[in-house]
Amino acid sequence: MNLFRTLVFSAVFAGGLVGALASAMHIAVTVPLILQAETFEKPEPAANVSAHEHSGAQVHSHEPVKAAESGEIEFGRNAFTVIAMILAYIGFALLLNVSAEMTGGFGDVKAGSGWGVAGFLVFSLVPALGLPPELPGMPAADLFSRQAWWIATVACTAGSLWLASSTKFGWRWPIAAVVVALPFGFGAPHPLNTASEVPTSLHFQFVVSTLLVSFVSWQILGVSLGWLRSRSWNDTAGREDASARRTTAR
Amino acid sequence: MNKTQVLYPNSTSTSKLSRALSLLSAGFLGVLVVGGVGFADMPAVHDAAHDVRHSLAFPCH
Repeated sequence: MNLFRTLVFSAVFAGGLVGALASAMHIAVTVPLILQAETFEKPEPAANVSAHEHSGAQVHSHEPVKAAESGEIEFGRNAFTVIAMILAYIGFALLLNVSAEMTGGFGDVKAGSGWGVAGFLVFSLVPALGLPPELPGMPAADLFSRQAWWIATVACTAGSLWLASSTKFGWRWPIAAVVVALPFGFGAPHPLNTASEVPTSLHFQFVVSTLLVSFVSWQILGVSLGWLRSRSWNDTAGREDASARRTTAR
Repeated sequence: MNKTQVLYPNSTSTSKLSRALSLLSAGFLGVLVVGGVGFADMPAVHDAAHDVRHSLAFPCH
């Protein structure tokens, strides 16, 4: 299981680094926009409170709090954001590692940058074309249908990129285009009533800044994985169980 | 035939299986972690990952 170890270690290292950097960028740029949007959120009906209860670090009530309490809440909230962001990028790094390994490896840093673009397209840009990043307080369709559409779009975009880049048959480009267009043909779920108290300019600013931060984060992730995985010390890792063979050959 | 093949005639198939298992396990772990952060509906996980879900454009709420 040399390969598994290499994939996990490099993903933890690169994902940890990118998660920490991405948290800093998001806490500086996008989280303030989320906090601003929360001031437009309407209190939820009592019957729905259990489903959307925000406890602990994610307090959504806007009752006046003392400055010290507010600072503590903000610190706790951001600490959870850092942990979750690091975990998310470790997960993304594992998926990127596996995809690259299945199609011939990273090769070098430049190839890593290409994989970063692929990750950004699959997990950020293409799903955002149908379901733009949402701010709290904005109307949205049923959560389950949006999650299902998001997962289907991620799968179709990844499949489409694989068809276009790793296959050789003549019709691969038109078929790849059809595959990526499928979820859009089906239609992303949107609410019937789109009226919102959240200003359009705030939402626009949020969409642009989340996509920009995501692009930078994916680039750092791709480049760092490309660098780590193209080092000589793991050139043959997993392709053959080298250590076992060395032991036997002695 | 090289030394490895002499010592382990089935080493290629063993190596392929080991490689497939490694890729499958790492991929599964990746899906589990991303799915947990982005989609788990337990209130505690949702609360902790709330700003990350909005910032990374996962559907939230």
